[in-house]
Amino acid sequence: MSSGEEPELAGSHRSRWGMVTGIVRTASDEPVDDCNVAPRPTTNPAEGLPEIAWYTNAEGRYEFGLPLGTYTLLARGQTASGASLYGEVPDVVVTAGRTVVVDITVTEQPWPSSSS
Amino acid sequence: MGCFGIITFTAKDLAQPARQLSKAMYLAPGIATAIYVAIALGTFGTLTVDTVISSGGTALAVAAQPTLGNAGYWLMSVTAVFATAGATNAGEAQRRVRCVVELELPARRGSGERGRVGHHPLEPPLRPPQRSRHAARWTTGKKTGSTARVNGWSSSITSRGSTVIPHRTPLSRALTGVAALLTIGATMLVAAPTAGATPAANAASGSKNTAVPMHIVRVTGLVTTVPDAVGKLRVRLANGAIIAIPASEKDRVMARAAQEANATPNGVVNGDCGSSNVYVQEKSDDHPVRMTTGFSVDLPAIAYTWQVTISSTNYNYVYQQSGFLAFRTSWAGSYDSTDDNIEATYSAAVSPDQSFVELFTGDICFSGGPTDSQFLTSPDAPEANALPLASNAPTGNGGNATPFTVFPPDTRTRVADTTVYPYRAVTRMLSVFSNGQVARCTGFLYASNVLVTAGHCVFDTAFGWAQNIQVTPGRDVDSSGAPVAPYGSCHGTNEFTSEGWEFNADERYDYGAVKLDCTVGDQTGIFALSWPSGSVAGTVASLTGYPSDELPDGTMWSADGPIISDSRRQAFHQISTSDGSSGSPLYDPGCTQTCTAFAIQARGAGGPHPNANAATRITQANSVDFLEWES
Repeated sequence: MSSGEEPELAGSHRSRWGMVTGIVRTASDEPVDDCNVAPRPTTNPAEGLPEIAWYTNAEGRYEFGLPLGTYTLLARGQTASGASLYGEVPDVVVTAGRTVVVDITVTEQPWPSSSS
Repeated sequence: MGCFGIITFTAKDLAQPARQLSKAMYLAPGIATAIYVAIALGTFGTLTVDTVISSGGTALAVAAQPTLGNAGYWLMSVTAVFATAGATNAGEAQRRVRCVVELELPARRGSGERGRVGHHPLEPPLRPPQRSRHAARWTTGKKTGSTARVNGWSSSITSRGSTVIPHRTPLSRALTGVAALLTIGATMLVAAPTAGATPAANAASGSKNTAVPMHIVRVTGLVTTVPDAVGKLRVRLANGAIIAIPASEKDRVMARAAQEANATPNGVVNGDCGSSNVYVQEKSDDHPVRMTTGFSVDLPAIAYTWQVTISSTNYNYVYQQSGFLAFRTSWAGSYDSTDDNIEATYSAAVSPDQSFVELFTGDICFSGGPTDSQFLTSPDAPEANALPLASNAPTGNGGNATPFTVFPPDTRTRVADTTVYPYRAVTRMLSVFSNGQVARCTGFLYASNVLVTAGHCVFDTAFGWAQNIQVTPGRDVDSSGAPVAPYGSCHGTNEFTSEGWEFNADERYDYGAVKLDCTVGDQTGIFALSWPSGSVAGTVASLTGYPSDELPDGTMWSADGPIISDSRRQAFHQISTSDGSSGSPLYDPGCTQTCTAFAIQARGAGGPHPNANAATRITQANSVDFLEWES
């Protein structure tokens, strides 16, 4: 063990993670705020996904990191009157150190059951 | 000519140099001292020591913020620019003197998997989110051999001050010159105790503090006059010990020895001069042994020599380090055994006669000989790669088994009454990160104003520390769909996570806590935390939290299920969860009086545990963190 080595941030972890970002909109192009954007892996990711729930801001924008792999991004929101909004984008490929932009369009429909 | 030419070169321009120069030499230190004391009082009265250190060169601007707002921050910064520009303005090419002093504040210690590091004070909740300076800010490039590396992480903050004396009126020039010199001197002495205020002592477990005081021992004589092969001379101490010092330090040390011989001819020990520590623990791969050690002294130091003996049955290693400190006031070192050793009791002892620090006064400050002894374990069963494939393992698209978080049958039910214990001690948590990104998690109270959650709910690998945290115990939604906060909402004042999560993003250390601005735990009751010895496989647990895949949005859900497998730090299960469940407690079902949590939900199935969700276990090691975080 020697002293004087270059310190590393958890950024070394970033060689195994990438980022996703985008905007959630309705079919009429309105941004959806407070919309949950959840990743569903379709390949086995390098680690279990942290079960933190990400939400869009007032501009409908979201951004978060994911382990490398392929995902379907699910958007689960609600209208002001409480009706469910849902949309998904499959085949989102997350690569190391890169940010992939995925905009999601949601329509009024029930959220699919998580068991399906 | 050196720095003292700053004063004397003005003499020729003064009408009465004898009177004016001596007047300047009295006035200048007084004025400079008064200003520095006022600034220090103002800064430390406004900011915590940690904030000052993490703010580095902009500490004064940060201190101005509470009173003057963002305008104050920028006013200080702009003022600093002008002050620097004015000081560096040469005016004329001749008669320019520059003193450059390089200050190095001591390395900030990391604490290993145990112990409190990664403490971040949160901005007051009403402020808009802004970029914060977090303590984990690293600079590279250590200059001398005194790099501190503890568990792989070290930091230093380097500031450099320079003064150039511009042409001005004779008296003002004299004043400026003396003030500049004393400013540099005052800065060194103010910085030293400030830096020393971040003690090197908190290396490992928070409840155990084996730091011992260090004492000055008088040097009585020179033993060797010719430097040895490594450039050291031997001196004798009043306690009879003989130590080796760098030959370049002979004059300083012997001058001090002469002073002490006159002042305290029979004195051996001349008071406390600092504190030192040593710890043993497992390495980050969970095998013995890692030793960390260090010291913090009360005055700027020149050089150090340090020796630690690490031993166990069938193991012995002598760790030695020495080097120059360049006026720093603390140092830390660590050693990982090259082999993975067996479970046993490991002891580390700092050799009292061979571990010492030479202070800038020429005094020799001795280690005090701290020791530590721990039973260290090795990992048991491998991680959940060996997890048996359950008959109801999830299948994904196209019938290919893909990992997920919900395991049919999904037995989660909505909690009917969130004002009943223990549900009312479970909280929904909103974290807002520095880029405005909003996230939701779950937390549960374990003290009247502190809750447990997952580490990644307070510290995100990409975004860093959460800027704002809002917590709602027993949150619910009424029949009309309106949100209900039966105990109101509180804000986080401080957030904590382990070093293993903050620096290694290691999911085995994915746990954290949030201190709140309310004592709502007095109303809701709290969870106890426990760490059963050995395996918890087979235990049935309740898991209660705020999953985002359930409607109505923002309601509390609960399900029971067995722990299928575990390791020392994680419990694996197939109780259905979703994003938002992070931070949910796993606890004894059917508990009424006191519910006891033994794990914190953190991860969905994937990676090394493709068939099970993972919860971070409460362990004896991290229970120490939770104890410290609630104090």
